[in-house]
Amino acid sequence: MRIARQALVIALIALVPAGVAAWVHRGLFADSEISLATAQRLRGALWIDARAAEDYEKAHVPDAYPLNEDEWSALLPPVLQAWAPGQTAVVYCSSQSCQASRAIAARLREFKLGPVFVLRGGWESWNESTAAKKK
Amino acid sequence: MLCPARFCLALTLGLGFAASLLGAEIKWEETSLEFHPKATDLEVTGEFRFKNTGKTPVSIESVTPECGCTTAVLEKPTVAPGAIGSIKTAFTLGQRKGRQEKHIRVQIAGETEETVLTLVTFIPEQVRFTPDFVYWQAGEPSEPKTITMTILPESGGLRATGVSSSNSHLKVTLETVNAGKEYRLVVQPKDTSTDAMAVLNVTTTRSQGGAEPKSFQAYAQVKPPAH
Repeated sequence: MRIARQALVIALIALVPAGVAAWVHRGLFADSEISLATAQRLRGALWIDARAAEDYEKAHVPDAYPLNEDEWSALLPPVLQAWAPGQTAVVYCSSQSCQASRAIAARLREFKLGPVFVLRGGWESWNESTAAKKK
Repeated sequence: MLCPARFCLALTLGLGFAASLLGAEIKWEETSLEFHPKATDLEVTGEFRFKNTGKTPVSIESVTPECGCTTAVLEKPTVAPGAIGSIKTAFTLGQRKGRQEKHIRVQIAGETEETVLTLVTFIPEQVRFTPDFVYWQAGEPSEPKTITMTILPESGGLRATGVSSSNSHLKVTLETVNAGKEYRLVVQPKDTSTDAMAVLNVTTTRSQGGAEPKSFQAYAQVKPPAH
């Protein structure tokens, strides 16, 4: 009886930091989209560029891997190779209205390697943020 | 008497007003098309038809698919009043699966906003690997791991004929559980001290014959040590 009471007290105490952590990260886990500010706070995230190859070649987020459905089989192995178990992946396409990042994110989730988020605003938001920092 | 600048402004506004009254007007038969291709289809094709219901000719300034996988061909750039125009479109299925939504943006002369045409395609999944990817952490025992390959009814009937690994460090064999329905890929690394990545390529043929052989991929890796 005494042991059960002590276990209950420990469980209740553990609920406090768990609740705080859940509240702090509520934006992160609310849905599969994250803002650029949140994405940039993620340490060591794997960035994935879901735009067409020619757009990726012009410019991309530093160290991002290209991955689109036109060349899925060819582009996927380097992504899997770089993706450490538990590492968060952030997928972006050109803008908020594009669908490619959502489609790629859905397929990547099937590998169950780590959380996969879609960058809200896509490359446009990254570009605007970079331009604003240069001013 | 009006000064030239005011005269020009009034003339421009007047002409604009008249044009809007006479109005070039487009009526689309459909702005969204839905496709349910078969497993053997490589692309889907469709047509967006529209009618110029206005009293002046309508010019289409641009037709822009948002994806390299979609083509859109305008039949004629200018459509007379009462005439029908069309945009023929094709969507290459490639290595996609599931629900796909692609857009084509159409800019009509004199209109401030683009018209957005939508193609929704449901691409059948033919094969499912469970899991798609197996990996070993560096130093983990190099025990074999199994991937189950299920042939889905949407495939229209497939039989696995062989499997190959792109990396000799990761060996793979194919076992038949239930021909035409379920197979097993048994993967094993030589050791887990070396990083290695392999594409496991399963070749299939149609149970009914006829179509080209098709291959499907699963993946295996020995992960590098975590930092």
